[in-house]
Amino acid sequence: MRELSIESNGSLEKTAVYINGEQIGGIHQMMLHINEDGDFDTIFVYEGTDKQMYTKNLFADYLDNIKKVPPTFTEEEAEFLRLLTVTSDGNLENTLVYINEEPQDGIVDLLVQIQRGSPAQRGGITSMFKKAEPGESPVFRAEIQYRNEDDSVSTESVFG
Amino acid sequence: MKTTAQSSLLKRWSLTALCVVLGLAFFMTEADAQRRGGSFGGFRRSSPSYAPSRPAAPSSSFGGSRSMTSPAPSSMQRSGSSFGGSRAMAPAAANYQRSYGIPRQSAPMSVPGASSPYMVHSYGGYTDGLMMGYLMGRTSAMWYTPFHPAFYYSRPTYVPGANGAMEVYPPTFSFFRLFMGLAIFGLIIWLVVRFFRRRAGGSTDSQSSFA
Repeated sequence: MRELSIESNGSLEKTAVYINGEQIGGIHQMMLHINEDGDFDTIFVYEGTDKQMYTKNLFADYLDNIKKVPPTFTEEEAEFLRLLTVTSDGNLENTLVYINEEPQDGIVDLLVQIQRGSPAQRGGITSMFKKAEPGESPVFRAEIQYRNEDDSVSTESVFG
Repeated sequence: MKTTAQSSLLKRWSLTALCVVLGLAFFMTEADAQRRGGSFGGFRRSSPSYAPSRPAAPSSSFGGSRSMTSPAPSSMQRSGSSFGGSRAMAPAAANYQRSYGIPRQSAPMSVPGASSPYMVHSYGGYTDGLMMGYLMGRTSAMWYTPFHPAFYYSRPTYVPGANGAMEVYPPTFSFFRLFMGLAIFGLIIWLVVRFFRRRAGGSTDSQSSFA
């Protein structure tokens, strides 16, 4: 079982990711898409301690050379943040979701997509004389769908 | 009439034969001399194979300007043996003047802090001003930065002359300093671009796992 926690206020600047309780740095992209129909996509793109880029399945793969960083948020700061925790072994049946440490049930779909922006161009001095190519813009999307007791489906922002 | 014509023809033939013989003799002697490589025989070449280092004397000693070529110092006089003592070097001033060329003007100049006047060789142009600035001590800190043209020139060259007087030659353009300047400018530009890029694209800070 692996435990993934995301602590955030909905902005990329205030987002910390923990794996098994340790904060991780150097993350480029993260995609969680789990739904009751059996979709289980957990893509994790990060820069390792050896400066290499790795793309891994978050709950199934060994995370090579992952960069662990000391916790950045104080307890006072954490009061203004929400904590999403997913524990799983890669199977939907063994997947639990917590928000602020409260277990969630009736989830239809969980989508978390966080991607940091990349600079427009990186080419040294010569790049000044070239037309700048558009870079990737940052993405922050975290939505959860619940099935209510009246069988309706409602969508909420996780860190909203 | 016939005898006159025959003698005329004979004279012409003998003249032609003489020219041919002389020509053959010239080429044979020249080729022979070249083959033997000796100093004897043949003709003296119009231009000597050995060119003395002394410049060709002008047609007249009057007019023009005095050449500043210094006489060879006494240390240049050869001793009896090649062994022992120290190796005699060619006079430095002569070497410099060979590379710099003939100066437009050479004048003694009293330099602050020097006991004897310096012989200053002027070649005109921008480097003369730099040389005077260095000699008078009128330089500024900008001269040592790549933002001033003086950075790309060497310091004036001071050569001890044969008579004890210091000879001064103007600075020369330095490609090494040019590359240094380009490297410094490149570094500055890179730092500025990096600063603005970080400010423009710096949406994350160190608190984020996505930094």
